[in-house]
Order: sequence, then C-alpha cells, then structure tokens
Amino acid sequence: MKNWIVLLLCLSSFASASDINALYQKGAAAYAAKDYDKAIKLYGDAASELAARGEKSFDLMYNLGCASFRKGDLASARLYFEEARRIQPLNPSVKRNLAILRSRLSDKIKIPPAGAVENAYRHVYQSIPYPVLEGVLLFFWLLVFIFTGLLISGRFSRKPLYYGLGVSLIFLLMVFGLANSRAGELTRREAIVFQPEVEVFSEPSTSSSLLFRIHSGTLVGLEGEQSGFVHIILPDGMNGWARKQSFKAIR
Amino acid sequence: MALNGRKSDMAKFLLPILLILALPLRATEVTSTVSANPVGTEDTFQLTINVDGYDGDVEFPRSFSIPDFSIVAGPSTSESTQIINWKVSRSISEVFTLSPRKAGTFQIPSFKVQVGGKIYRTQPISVTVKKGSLLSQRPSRPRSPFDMFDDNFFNPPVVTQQPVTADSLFIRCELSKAIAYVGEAVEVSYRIYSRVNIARLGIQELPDFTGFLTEDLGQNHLIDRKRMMINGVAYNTAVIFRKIVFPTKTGRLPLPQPVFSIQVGNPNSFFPGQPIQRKSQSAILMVYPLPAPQPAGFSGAVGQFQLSVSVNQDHVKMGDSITATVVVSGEGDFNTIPLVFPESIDGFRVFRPSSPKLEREPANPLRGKKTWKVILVPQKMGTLVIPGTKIIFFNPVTKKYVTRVSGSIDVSVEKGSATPENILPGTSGNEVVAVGKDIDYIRTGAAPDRFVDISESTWYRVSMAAIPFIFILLGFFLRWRDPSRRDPVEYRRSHAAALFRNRISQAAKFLKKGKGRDYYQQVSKACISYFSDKWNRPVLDLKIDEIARELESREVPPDLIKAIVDVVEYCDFESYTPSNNALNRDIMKDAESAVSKLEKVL
Repeated sequence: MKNWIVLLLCLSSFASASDINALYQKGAAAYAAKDYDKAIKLYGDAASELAARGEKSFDLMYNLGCASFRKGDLASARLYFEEARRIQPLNPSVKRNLAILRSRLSDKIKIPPAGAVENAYRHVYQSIPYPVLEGVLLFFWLLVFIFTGLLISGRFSRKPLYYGLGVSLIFLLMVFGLANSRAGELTRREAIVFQPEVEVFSEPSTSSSLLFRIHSGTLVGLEGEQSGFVHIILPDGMNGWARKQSFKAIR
Repeated sequence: MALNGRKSDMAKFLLPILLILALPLRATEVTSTVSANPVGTEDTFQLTINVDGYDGDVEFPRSFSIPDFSIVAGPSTSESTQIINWKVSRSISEVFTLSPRKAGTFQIPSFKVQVGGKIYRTQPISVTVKKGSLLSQRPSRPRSPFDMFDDNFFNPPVVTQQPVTADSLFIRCELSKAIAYVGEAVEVSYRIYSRVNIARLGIQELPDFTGFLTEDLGQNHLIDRKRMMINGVAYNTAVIFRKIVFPTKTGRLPLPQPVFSIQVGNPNSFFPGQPIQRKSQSAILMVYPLPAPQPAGFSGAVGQFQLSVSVNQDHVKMGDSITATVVVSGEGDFNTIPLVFPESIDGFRVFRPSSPKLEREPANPLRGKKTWKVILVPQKMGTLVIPGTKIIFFNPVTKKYVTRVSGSIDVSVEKGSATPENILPGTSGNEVVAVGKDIDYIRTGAAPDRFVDISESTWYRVSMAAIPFIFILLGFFLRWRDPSRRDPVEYRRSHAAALFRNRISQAAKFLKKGKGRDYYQQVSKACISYFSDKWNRPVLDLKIDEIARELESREVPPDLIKAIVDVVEYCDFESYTPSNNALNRDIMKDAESAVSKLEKVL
C-alpha cells in the first residue's frame, strides 16, 4: 500500500513537471505568433505552478518580461525583468532589455556610480550561482565542526587539526560574506510603480507637502509602511511616502 | 532764605530724577511716509517706516510685498538719538525704494511694527501714479566723507550742477521691430538719453523677460554713443543694456522695465555724484502666430537664411579624410536651425561634429552665421556623391515658408595607401553599425530552468543546525572511548609530552614573576617528570645520571642525551646559586627542544 502511495506521488510530480514544460513551449509558440496576451497567460500559469513548489524560473520571468514589453505594458515588463535579474544578475539579455525599457520610461533617474572595489566584489558574488554559494557555505560550516570534533576527541595530532580549523574558518567567513551579499540582493525590498503618475509626499498623508512625482515603470526601494502608505526611496536618494496600492513588489 | 535754600537743594536733587523719569514718558510713534506723491510710472520714490521715541527692541515687517509696486532697493536702516532740552529722543527708520508698475491710484498698506513687545500699525498711504515721469530731482548737496560737520568746506561746487529733471535724463526701451512672429529674433536695447554728466551707471536688478527666450550679447556696457535730437533738444545717448529676444507666445507682449541706478556728476571728480534711479520707459512688442499649415521638416526657424555646403577637396585618396562645411547664414534665430547633413552617405564613413560655431555680426547681432564641420572618410574608389540637403524656415518679410536647397557634390576617390580592408583599424570589411534598438528574443527550449533557494529547505536548515552538534558529540564520544584515558599508566606515557608542556607553562609564570629559583626548579622538574611519565617510574627514583644511562641503553643519540642532561644540570645549579645573568639563557626553550626531539625517538 505504502509503495503505491509513493509511486502515485512520483507520478503526480512528473505529470506536474510535464505540465510546466508544455505551458512553457506553448507560451513560446504564442509569442512567435505575436499573441502576447496568450503568451503572458501561459508563462504566468507555468510560473504560478513553480511558485507553488517554492521554485522560480529565470526563463519564465524573462519571457514574461519580453511578452509584456511587446504588449506595451512597460511596468509589468520592468517587474518581470527585475525578477529575472534577481535570479541571474549578470545575464546580458536581461541587462540589454532593461536598458531599452528604461530608455522608454518617462522617469530618468541617475544611479550614482559605485567604486571599482564594490563593482569587483559584486561581480564575484553575482557570478557564482546562489545554490552553489549556499552549498559551499554548508560544506565549510560542517568542516569547522569536523575539525572541532576531532580536536575534542584528543586522538589525533593537534597541529594539523588546528591548521585545518583555521583555514576552514577563513573560508567559511569569506563564503558567508558572499552568500550574505547575494541573499541581500535576492530579498531586497523593491517595487515597481504601476500607476501612470504617483505623488510622493513628505509624510504618510496626502495633506503633507508634495515632494515629487514618479511615473509608471519606475523602480523604487521600499523602506517602511504606515497607514496605507509606503516609504519609498529612489536610487538617487530622493525619498518620501506614497500610496501602497500604486506599487507591485518584486519577489 | 533757609526755606528757599532747601527748595533750591531739593530742585537740584530732584531734577535729574525727574529727567530720568521723564524719559520713558515720551510716546512711541510709528509712521510711514513716501518721498513723493503723485509719482510717474517711470519714477522711483522712497517709502520710509519710522519709529520715534522707542524703548526696547524694534521689529520691522519682514518679507512683504506691496501690490502694484516693485521694491527695487532696500531696506536701508538709519538710527538717530537726540537730546534737546534734557529730553532724549531716539528714532529708527527703514527706507525702501519703490517703483510703480502701472498708472492709477494705489494704496500702500498699513505695516505692523513691534516695539518693545507692543504692536503698532502705520496708516495706509494712497499714492497716485501717472504715466511718464513727474519727479524733478532737486539738487541736494552731496555729502563728502570728510564732511563731518555738515558744512560747506569740503563740498563740491553744487552751484554749477543742473537739476536732473525727467526730461533731462531718461531711458528708452528700443526694439529692432515693433511687430514680430513667434520665434522671430528681435533686438531689445535700453538706451539712455541724457543732458547731464553721468559719473556712474548700473542696473538695479536683471529684468525678467517673461514670454521670451533670450540670448545674451557680449557687450553690455555703453555702446553706440551718439548725439540725438528730440523735439529740437540735443541729447547724449548710448545703449546701456541689450539682448536678443525670441517671443514664445502671441499677442501684445510688454518688455520688462528695469531700474537703473545712475550717479549724476563729473566722472573725473573726486566727490561722488548725485545718486538717482531711473526706470526704463515701457515698450510693447506685437507678436503674431506663424501661418498654418507648417510644412513638413519645419524646425521653427524664423528669419532669412542662406545655406551652403562645401568640401575642402574633391579629389582624394582612399583613406584620406575630407571636411564638409555646412554654413547657414543670414538673420534670425540660429538656435532653432539643426544640422542638415545626411547621417550616412554611401561610400563614406561620416563623423558628425559635436557642436556648431555661431558667429554674430557685432554691428547687427541679429545677423550671423552658424557653421558645422563634418569629417568624411571615403571607403571606396570612384566618384562618390555627397547628396544635397535643405533647410526650411519662415521668412517674416515675405510671410512665406522658404526652402533652401544645396546642390550635391561629387568627390573623386583614387587608390591610396589604404585599402577598403584597412581603412577601419582592426577590421576587415565594414564596421557593423547599429541601425535600430530592440529587446532580445525570448528564451526557448524544452523546459524552463529552475531556481531553488536551498537555504529555504528543511534539510539545509537541519544540516546547518543539527549536524555540527553531531560532530561535537562524536568528538566527546571518541574521547570518552579513548582506551588510553582508561589506563592512567598508558595515559601518562602517551601524553608525557603534553604533561611536560603544562609543567613548562607553569615555569613560564615563575619567570614572569621574577622567581628565578622556582623557575629553574620547575623546568628541572618538568624534564625529570617527562621521563617518569614515559617510563612509569616514580620521580624520586629518577636522577639525571640514571636517565642518561637509560637513554644510552635505548640508543638515543649522544648529543640529544647531552642536551637534556645539560638543561637539568644547569637548572639544578642555578636553583641553588641564582644569578640575574642566568635568566638571560632561554633554558625553557632548550628544554622544549630537547623533549620534542626525544618524543620522536622514544
């Protein structure tokens, strides 16, 4: 009986995976036929299936961005491209598409340039896939405790164990730093403006001073939330409070 | 007499007290006055807010505006104290220079002044403003910085100075044309007309040309000086400020009336001249819209222009560059004329210029020419053609849109040192030029990629949290299961070196405290105990001679035996005859070195 249940579970999982693949292929066919609404629907269904399993897909997010762009929905395209960029930050297609998309938005926001060291460090942790970073982190974490356990046992020569422990600790800290920076990027609280024009106030109230206006498709950082307003910050440092329903968060 | 004398004494005593008491009794008065009423639209006048007999802090109104008047200067504050008949009187005033904006009867409102914490209000003043200039400047004797006593000793000869009337000194706003089209260039000049000597001249504040785009002209000092006759009266005139303006809207557009500050007097005199302010007379520009429909390619240029395109050579070798010069000359708004040269020409590589050069004629700044230089590099042999180009503009004289066309230019390209392959460094063939921009294509394939954040999974969290404890517990388990720890003799034998190091570290503490005898005794004891642990023999039974013999029998190298014997004997000797010099020898290190080598042998 138990074997049958396991077999059924495996089959259902396989069937679901084949569904996602089928949706993905149908989405590509709809995109090629310039039926962008249908492509968005199919890719969106596949993405929802994956999300239900706690998974994401760069390909799906990227294709959703392309289809939304072709449809003229720049805000949705920005949202999907940004989500794809979180998964593969150095992917050249996403970079190119985002550059073209930004050039068509009404808000031109200058991003302050980062230093050479910061850029190099970012390139290192972005070029290593996040699951690999997590695996290496786990490896060194366990290695530290293996050496500690051997030292506690007192059965082996201490000197090589101390060296091993020291080297493992150094690598653990390095990998932790990289993984932490990457995790920070993945979980950064950002959102896209989804209304034609959003007014940003100095306080979480429309009766406070109007500071500036932002427009559809602009990327903002989210800092806090209060009474239906979110505290937003732009890449150039301008910040203020705007109505929460004007934004969609990047996941 | 005595009574009178007492009265007189009392008066002497009471007088200062009464005087002091009388001081604050003087009433505080706050007034506002104007220097002239009525005034002309081209005049300026002073508004004075005065506080008399005040006691305490005075706060004048701040950042206010007076409807129908412009504040062109001020406030300037003056303060005075007078003692007349033993009465002290203090007054303070603030003076503003105002300029009317239009003719009519206007009211200067009441001002609120706080004196010693109390609020006072001035009376509103009704001022009549008439067109033109009404004020005749009375000659006031200018005061020299040396004229401390306000007498005539240092004064310049004011008797020779003429009164400065509105007729003797005025400023006109002159336009190069009274009627213009939207975007048409019009020169605005402010010309001073004077029958008096002028020592200094300055503009109070730069005018705001609302409804116009403007272009500065370099020379804004006295230019175009000439003598002119107006109604039979001769005036010395000069342009003191000028700009080129381009109207941006239609209708009757008033030009701004800036206020100029003028010092009347001999410019070569040491003494400062008489300061007066003059507002420019008004001027209106009538602006018409451009006729519709506008032709395709019309960039908004209004004026009369000529177009010419030329090249510096029409016979070149392949790879050599030629310069094409595009010149638009004439009269009008050059800013609205874009570069009219093809972005790409068959057979040429085109390097477009970064910025054009605009030159205006000094005598007539509306006229000028705008020049672009475009570098062309021929990339194939034969007769290449630079196609003609055109500009479209509106001519306000003929009231028609005009198209100027330049002819095509033939360029003969011969074979040179360069070949089509090496014209572009590092390439063979033509450089790929982007002609459009679009997003990349979607990603296709059998299945989409999967991204899983394994740190969110249960097994990862369990591995991070639980497995380390397993290793620690395993370590303790192995330690507990260590057979050497169950047999004390075996434990001491296998851990003799570790026990030696513990004892040596104890000796180091003695060394730190400066206890020389204890230090040597401890080092000696650590060495002997090492052999006691190693061979399972009581410490008391072991002497260094016996240890040496035992080591010999175990075929330990003689130099190693000598080293350990030397350490123990040295320590024994020093522990009984301690000397400070002996502490200089690092006996502890010697002992550790010897035991470390023995550990490998035994």
